[in-house]
Amino acid sequence: MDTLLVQYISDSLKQGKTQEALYQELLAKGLKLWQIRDLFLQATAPAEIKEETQKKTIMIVATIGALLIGLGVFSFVASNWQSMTREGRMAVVLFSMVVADALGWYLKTRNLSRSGESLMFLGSLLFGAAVFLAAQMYNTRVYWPDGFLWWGMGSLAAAAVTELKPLYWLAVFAGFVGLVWYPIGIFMGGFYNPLILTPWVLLIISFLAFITVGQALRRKFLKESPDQY
Amino acid sequence: MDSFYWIFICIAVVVIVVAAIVGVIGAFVRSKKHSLSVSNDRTWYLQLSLSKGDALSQWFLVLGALALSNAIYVINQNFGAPLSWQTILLFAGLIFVVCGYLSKSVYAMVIGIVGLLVWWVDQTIAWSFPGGQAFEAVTAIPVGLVWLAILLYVAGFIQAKFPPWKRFAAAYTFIGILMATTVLFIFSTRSGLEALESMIERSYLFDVWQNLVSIFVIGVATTLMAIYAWADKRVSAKEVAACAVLFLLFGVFLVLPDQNIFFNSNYELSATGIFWAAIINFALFFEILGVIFSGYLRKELWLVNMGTIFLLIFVAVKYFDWFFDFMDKSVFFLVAGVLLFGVGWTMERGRRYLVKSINS
Amino acid sequence: MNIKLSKLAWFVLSVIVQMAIVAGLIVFNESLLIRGTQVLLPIHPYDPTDPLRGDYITLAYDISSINVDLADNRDKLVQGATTYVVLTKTGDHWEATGVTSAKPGKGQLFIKGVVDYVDYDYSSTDWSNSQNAARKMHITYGIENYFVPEGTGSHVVSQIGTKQALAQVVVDGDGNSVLRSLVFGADIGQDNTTNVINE
Repeated sequence: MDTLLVQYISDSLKQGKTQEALYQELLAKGLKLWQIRDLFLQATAPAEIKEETQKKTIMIVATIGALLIGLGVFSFVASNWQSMTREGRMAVVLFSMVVADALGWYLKTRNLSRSGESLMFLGSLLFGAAVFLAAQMYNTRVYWPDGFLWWGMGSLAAAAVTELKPLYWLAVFAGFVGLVWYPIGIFMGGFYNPLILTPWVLLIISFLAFITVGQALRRKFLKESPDQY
Repeated sequence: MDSFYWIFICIAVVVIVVAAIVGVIGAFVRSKKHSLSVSNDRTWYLQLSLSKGDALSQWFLVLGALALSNAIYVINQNFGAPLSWQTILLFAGLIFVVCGYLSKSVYAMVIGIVGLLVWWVDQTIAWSFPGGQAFEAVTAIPVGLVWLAILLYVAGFIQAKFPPWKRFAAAYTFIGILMATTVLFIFSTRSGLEALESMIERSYLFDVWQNLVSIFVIGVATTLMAIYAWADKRVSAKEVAACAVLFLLFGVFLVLPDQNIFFNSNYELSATGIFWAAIINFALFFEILGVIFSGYLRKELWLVNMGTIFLLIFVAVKYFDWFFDFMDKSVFFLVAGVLLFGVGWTMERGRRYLVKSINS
Repeated sequence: MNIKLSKLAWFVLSVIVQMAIVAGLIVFNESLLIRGTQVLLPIHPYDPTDPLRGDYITLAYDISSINVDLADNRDKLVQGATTYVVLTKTGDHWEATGVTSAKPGKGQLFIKGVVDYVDYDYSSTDWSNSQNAARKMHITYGIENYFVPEGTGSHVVSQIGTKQALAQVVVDGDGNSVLRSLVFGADIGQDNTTNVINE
């Protein structure tokens, strides 16, 4: 009944009837003022808005659903972490890294760029977790700058491809910890400089990686603002 | 003494952190409408990083230079340290300066300059005490640092000839002023004067040929640089004169005779001590004023601001930490106050004039 | 970037690079465990300022501090110097029988480490050359940390204190080493050593 009235109102408006006249008509028919207002609102809302509301609802429901699934997976992993074998743990971390990256890419293609980017960032964080998990699997020494250097370079690879600022800054952070924070912090604690156990080849490789990226970024920056030296 | 290498790294970290904080604050303070192109922003060269993109690329450059420096350090250690770590520090400083110049990165260049300064200080100590672990003071160090400060100050103005390098120029001048003021300030305090006395007592300048040569080289380089800057009209005659006075003042320290000249047996100031303490304090005072006037003459607001801040610090510290008990504090402060008022009035006029001319 | 590959392909490539890094770390260590020689190195109680941090404990090997007389070149004993420690089997465990700064010849089993610091004997009267007064050199191999299941750290540490404790370390031909696990007490000597704490 309501939809018929709404349809009638919108048709009448299209035909050129004034609002006043319609109001009088419907009042005469016995409808209350607030009912008429409500019907008018429904009639004059463009069709796209209605569709959008429906789409949005679906998306909200789906997102919350996905969130709940994610939370479920996370709590499952957290509660069973201790009893998992080390291969199992590595599989979980790698799998979630791939899932995060894939989902991130998918969301970006669907124009949900912010969520997509944050998922890609999560992917590189999980990559770091995987690197340190691999170290832990083989009882690698705890003060291990190599891990941060590998994390930095892996993040650089992702950053160079996606050109996402957070990934670049993640690489800077990892490089900073590996090259500055650890050596100084450990040294202040009275131990040896942890870098002396790091193969110098890795340091040379990271030097090349960082310089290359730095120069590439600088070229890009200069292209965008050419009159800055 | 690995500790100096890590002091250098610590300084590098401090520089980076300060730059990051300043950059972040600047990013918020800078007005959004401000287009960051050189032609629009007259003071673009005072910004540590021109945008987030610039900051990011500079960070990677610094990390890369750091990775290479650490690589050289590790290689050296792995082979049983054939090179002294001072040499490694020298390489590290050079790597940073070269990287800074190749990619116009101010961060890297500043870290490199700081590293080279730390290298020179520690190498001087190492030359003076081969095989020893002592950290004795050597006269050559403060003298050399002040001379180098003058050199950097002047070099900054020479570098400013080339507009793309104005950021580097400002950095050079800034470091020079900071160094000179700090050394003067240290020696104007009681403990600084004691340290100076102990340095002069044991003069390792003429016994160790490396110190002699390095001081000579620094002195010649500074003089030549100043003369070139003056001939090229990058610095005024007054500035050169002021620099020369500072240069000679510290040069005198090199040749002071070896005696207990500053303090007598009661740990009070002797007559010579009072004389030198007054000279150093006045030198500090006028050096700061010189910075302000330099800014006034060049119409560079940042120099004026820097001088103002230093002056305020100077006044605040000296008021509470004046160790001249022979003279009535109030008399000195009255005289200094009158002087200061006059200076302040000139400054105020100068700043208003500056701000007007900048904004016009 | 090369335009031949699509953006998606490049992204997949970057993810593969990340996985390759992780795989590389795993493969390097795993292959070392497979093709290397297993040695049993005695460990003794270690009392650092912070023995338990999270889920790992710090170990002190007998070969972590070696008498300086075994070194072939004392001048090279600076911090960070690469050092090769030759191991010889004595009974059921292995001991250090030589320390060289260059890689030892074939036929010898050795483990690679870096010099941490050198202990001096302060009771020595010969101080003309500080090297003469040196007694023990402390060497780090990178295998001093052992990860344990959460909460069992103190138990393991006390076991190291009360029982005879050995570490199963695998060494390859270049001296690289990986700590496999710990072995305690009466379990030593059998081929199928049952480990009290297993990762």
